[in-house]
Amino acid sequence: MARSRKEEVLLIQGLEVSYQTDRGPVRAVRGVDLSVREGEILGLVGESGCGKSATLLSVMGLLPFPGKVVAGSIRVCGADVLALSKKELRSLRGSTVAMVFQDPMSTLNPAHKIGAQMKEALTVHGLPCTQDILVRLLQEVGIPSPEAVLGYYPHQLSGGMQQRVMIAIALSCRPKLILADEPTTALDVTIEAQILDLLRQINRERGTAIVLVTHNLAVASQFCHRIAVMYAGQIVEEGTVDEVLANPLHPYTQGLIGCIPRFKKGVPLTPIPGQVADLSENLHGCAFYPRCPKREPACLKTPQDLLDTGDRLVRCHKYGYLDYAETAAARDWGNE
Amino acid sequence: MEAAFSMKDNLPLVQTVGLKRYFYAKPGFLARVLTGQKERTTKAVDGIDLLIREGETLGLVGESGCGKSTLGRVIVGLYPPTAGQVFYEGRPEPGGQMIFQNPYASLNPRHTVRQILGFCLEKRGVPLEDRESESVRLLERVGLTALHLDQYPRQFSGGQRQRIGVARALAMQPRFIVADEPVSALDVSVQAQILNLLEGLQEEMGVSFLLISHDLAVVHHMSHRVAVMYLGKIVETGSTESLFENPAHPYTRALLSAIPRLGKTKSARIRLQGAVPSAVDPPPGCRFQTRCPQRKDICGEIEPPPVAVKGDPGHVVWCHLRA
Ligand SMILES: Nc1ncnc2c1ncn2[C@@H]1O[C@H](COP(=O)(O)OP(=O)(O)OP(=O)(O)O)[C@@H](O)[C@H]1O
Ligand SMILES: Nc1ncnc2c1ncn2[C@@H]1O[C@H](COP(=O)(O)OP(=O)(O)O)[C@@H](O)[C@H]1O
Ligand code: SF4
Ligand code: SF4
Ligand SMILES: [Mg+2]
Ligand SMILES: [Mg+2]
Repeated sequence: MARSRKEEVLLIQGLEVSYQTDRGPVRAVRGVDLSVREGEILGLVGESGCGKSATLLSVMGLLPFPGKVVAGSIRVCGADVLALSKKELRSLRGSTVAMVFQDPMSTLNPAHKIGAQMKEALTVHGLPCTQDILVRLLQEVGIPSPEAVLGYYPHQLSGGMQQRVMIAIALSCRPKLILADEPTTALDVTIEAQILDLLRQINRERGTAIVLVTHNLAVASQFCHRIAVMYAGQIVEEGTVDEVLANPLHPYTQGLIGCIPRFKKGVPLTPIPGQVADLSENLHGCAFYPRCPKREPACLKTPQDLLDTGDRLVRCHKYGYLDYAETAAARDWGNE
Repeated sequence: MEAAFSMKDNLPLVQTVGLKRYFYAKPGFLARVLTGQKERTTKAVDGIDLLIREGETLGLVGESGCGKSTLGRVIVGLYPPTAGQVFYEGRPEPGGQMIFQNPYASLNPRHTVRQILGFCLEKRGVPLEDRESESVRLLERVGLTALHLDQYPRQFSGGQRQRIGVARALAMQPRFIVADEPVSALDVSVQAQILNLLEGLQEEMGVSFLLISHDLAVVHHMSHRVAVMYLGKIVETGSTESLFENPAHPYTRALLSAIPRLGKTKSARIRLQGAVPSAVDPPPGCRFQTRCPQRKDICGEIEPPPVAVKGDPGHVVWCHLRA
């Protein structure tokens, strides 16, 4: 893929995450490579349970027990996240990378006023937090009468306003990278559009890189530069938003697009048959095989590699243009 | 679509006339004495006239808190109206079944599917010996099998739970179903399955739907007609084609311009300024006036009258601009 020379803000290589459960390990992430450059917005899409959140939480060092990074490396602005101490991680979260979650109410403490919570967040990250600074932060995210809002409890704000407060807290450290995990899923269309506008503006004005997890392909198509489609803990297709959505190559991406109504009367919806792969099982060959309308016996023989078609990465030997052996050979030449 | 035209000849199935539902919140004794707070009235549904025909889907859209669920609940009889009347199959009484957004919360976790469906069949007067075969028939209709009869809700995936919710509604053999955000808690692929299921029911059994959804793509796909609600009132209604292609109300226009569309370049979005007024003591005149980009003086004084929109005889807007 053609790459610009902008600084790499996030570089994930060979990431594997596993949750140790009674039923054995759940392999939530099974070898993910991702890179995000300064000023770039990457969309991460896929059905629930395919490892999107686990990927982002690993970057933040926030994987909950019993989740563990079992392989791979994560670099944020050059820093090796997996080698950092708890304290260093906390300071990374307060200076370079910030996360916005789906449900603001679960992250805001209902018993504390907005002002107090913002103060606490800033203090933890060692940032100054005068009244003026808090007011300015709320102003930046478009909250009307910020002085009053500082004295409110979370429940006195609408869902959209709560999400703005979360973004204000995330922005307080002037991060280079924002990880947004379904930040608008709980909101109305009009409010969703406002929150996405706000993130887009931050991206344009400050060059902040953003990774947006969303299950809404339409949102991704309007908001992101690049898109990575995830299935069963792996990236199955990646490319520019326009290319991937206009001409999806991987059968899973095609399936996702067939599921959404397109404002054309009479075009039937075509759900993807079956269910998301169970990540506690050993998966052989292509993980999408049981649900794939294009499958053939060869798909089960070897794990599918992420193939580079020139403008796109595709994890499918039929649609990645080259077969497995050829790319393996091509890669060996490249290494010489 | 030709279906939208033939629909006009179908008989009215559900009708509401001047329907209102208010909620009253009494402040505590101390608040009344110390701060002089008075009783607050939330006008969740404030005078709604709707008509849903046999075999028709009416989409209901509007932002959170505008009263969509309350309206649905009053129509099926879960809440009594504060004023006005619901007519169902020509009789002055509520009717129909409801499918909820969160299938898990709406199914009793301690009951098996057999029990859940059994209660409804009992209510309908199906004799004991026929209930099992009828339950199996219902499960098969929604894509489940007899094997699921003795399982509990927690043993099902989100999509399967919603199928059980649909089966439970069907157990009463309703001719009308209120589907309140039936797919918003589900994954895209499962959404498509449930939407296809609902469409199939309509084709085969002629069920009518009131479909409440904040996903305008879903509403466009499923509905013959659409009603737009704002703070307890309908502000615009019309055939799906006419309303999406030729929206007349400033709120509808803002709403439609905010839709993210796959692959479409961003069209100019109409940004709403101003605070969302609450359904507690809405302003006199037009309720949209605090955020309307085209507000006139009259809008603060007089409630806008219904005005016909050219092109579609059923397309009506409540706005002074058109009067
Ligand atoms: N049982 C109740 N008691 C008191 N107030 C209520 C009750 N149910 C709803 N309300 C109020 O009535 C108004 C309309 O609520 P409703 O649930 O109908 O909105 P909605 O349009 O369905 O919103 P959403 O899109 O968020 O589901 C709101 O102001 C709400 O707080
Ligand atoms: N705390 C946990 N314990 C065990 N398994 C988990 C836990 N959290 C997530 N998983 C599993 O990890 C996989 C990926 O989950 P997640 O990253 O949350 O997916 P997504 O965000 O794409 O919906 C799923 O199979 C999920 O069931
Ligand atoms: S490798 Fe085979 S089963 Fe997998 S996505 Fe491609 S065609 Fe389908
Ligand atoms: S009646 Fe007036 S305030 Fe209301 S929508 Fe029309 S122009 Fe706007
Ligand atoms: Mg997630
Ligand atoms: Mg509701």
